Amino acid sequence: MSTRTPDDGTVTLGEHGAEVAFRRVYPTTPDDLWDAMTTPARARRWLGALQGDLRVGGTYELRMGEDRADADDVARGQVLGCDPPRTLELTWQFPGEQPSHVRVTVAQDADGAVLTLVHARLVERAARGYGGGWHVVLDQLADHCAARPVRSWAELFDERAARYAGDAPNVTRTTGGAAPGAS
Amino acid sequence: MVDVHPLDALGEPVRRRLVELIGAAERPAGELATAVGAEFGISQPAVSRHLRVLREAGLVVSRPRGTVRLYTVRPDALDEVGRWTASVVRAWSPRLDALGTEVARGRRATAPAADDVASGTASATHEEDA
Repeated sequence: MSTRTPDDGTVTLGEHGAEVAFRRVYPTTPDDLWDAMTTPARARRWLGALQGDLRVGGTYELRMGEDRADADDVARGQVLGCDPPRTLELTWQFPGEQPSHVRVTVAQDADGAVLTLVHARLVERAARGYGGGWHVVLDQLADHCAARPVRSWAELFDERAARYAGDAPNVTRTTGGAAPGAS
Repeated sequence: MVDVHPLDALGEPVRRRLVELIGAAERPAGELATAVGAEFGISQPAVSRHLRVLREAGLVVSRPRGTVRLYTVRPDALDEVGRWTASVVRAWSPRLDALGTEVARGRRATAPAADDVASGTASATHEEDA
């Protein structure tokens, strides 16, 4: 993988932590994009089974693979901030991983609704993994917003994961301080 | 969703190793992560992502045991891989037999005239020549 595309995220590896950031534009309104992300019936079509209380102080559970509480790929956490349809800020706990932090913003621009996603306070390996993982998920969201059949994880995963491996152009190293956006 | 062929899912070393391990014995994801973690330097979440590919390709399923889920290989999907391989072998074996005949026939007889090839008696003629 030698060139970046606008859909690619950026993995930033700092001395005190790593993060991954995406910016995507979806051909819809911020309200609709927010609805696609937070309404369980819609989230299920591209992201996974989502349940919980999306209010500040509430908790959530997101089953990204199998729809079972004891599955291996279930993210859980607390809602740190929720301002529909603009910002959602979460703690993120995935099995086998240290707690991390996810912040999503939605804004209007000339081309549609702009989503930014920053997943921070990660170790390098996790940041690279979430690079590929979120890339797939945001592609699936694009399918959902465009009313296309949503492509499967298995179909997209290898190609997307390779974009954040090794010294891919989507991976940058910074020196000094925490990775930007980590707070 | 587009179905992913089991062979596509198996075209990745970590996933092949996972299928080998799961094929040998049912295991929970945590144990699989430990087993392949040292070998490939990957974490449990990374193993989860690969297991999801294997599940979606129909190669493995999970079932509950106590507080964990055990992964098991689906024989049907592996049979499909075997059938594909067998079909390729079947397609090739007459040609490889023909190659054997050709090698046995030897170099002197390997450039038949065009009308010999067209004629049903060509090979018999050549064998006499050889």
